[in-house]
Amino acid sequence: MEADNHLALAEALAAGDVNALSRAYDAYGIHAYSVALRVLGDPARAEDVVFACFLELWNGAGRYDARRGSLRSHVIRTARNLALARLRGSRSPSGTPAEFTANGDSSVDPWGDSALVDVSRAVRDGLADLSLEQREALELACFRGYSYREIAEATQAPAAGVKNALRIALEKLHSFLQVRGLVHEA
Amino acid sequence: MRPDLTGVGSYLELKNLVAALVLGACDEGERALARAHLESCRTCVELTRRLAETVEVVPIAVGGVRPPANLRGRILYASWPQPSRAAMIQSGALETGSG
Repeated sequence: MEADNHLALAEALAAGDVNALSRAYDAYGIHAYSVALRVLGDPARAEDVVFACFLELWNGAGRYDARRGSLRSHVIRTARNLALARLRGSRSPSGTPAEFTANGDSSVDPWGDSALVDVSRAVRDGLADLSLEQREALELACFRGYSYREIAEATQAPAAGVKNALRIALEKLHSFLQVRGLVHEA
Repeated sequence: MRPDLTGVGSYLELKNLVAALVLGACDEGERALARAHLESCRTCVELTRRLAETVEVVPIAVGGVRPPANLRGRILYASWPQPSRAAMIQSGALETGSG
């Protein structure tokens, strides 16, 4: 979905246009479900997460801030955070804090008209380019909601090394995707 | 002349902490430390932006798994005010879309 469309969609959602919710689901429902299923591994629980994600989007549409990133990113982050909270049996927020969102220029969508399958393949290629230690640490943080200390315990690695591996993994992946035009310029 | 490496170790540690912060992978005390650092370090604010954008893209690696067909209708039905739901069903708005 093009950036102009995503901004217009966000405005329509905030205005309470139910057709906008329908369009948002058609555009991003597959992203939200895929992420929730990856985290939870259970279709029924993933469905519940997507249900909660889109109702949260609907009920809190006025709180979505387009300056903090695209609507697509917002939906994916919400789905991931809700799934992680369920995985960890916590009502407290999990995952990436909302204040630390991409905060890029949301009027420019680096994905443009790229198909989901192409972006997905590029991210997988980028992850495959990492060392085993970096990839494992990043996946445990992203999809299991582990803290760096929990990752250190699970992988029997030094905690300081895990933190370092997480940063290097993210920087390498960003560079990999930037070359392919799939993230904003540094 | 030897470079002044004073503080390099701690700065690297702070950058690593920023990465853990954007992943939600550190404890509350460390979050406070990283937030305090971000108030005065533009380099790490920019690092935060890059890493946060990357964190948001990582889940896309899982590809596309289509949700159950009835989920769209459940969500739209729940979004409508109670009195309007009968009209919504009649309008066909709950039919499965493209997503």
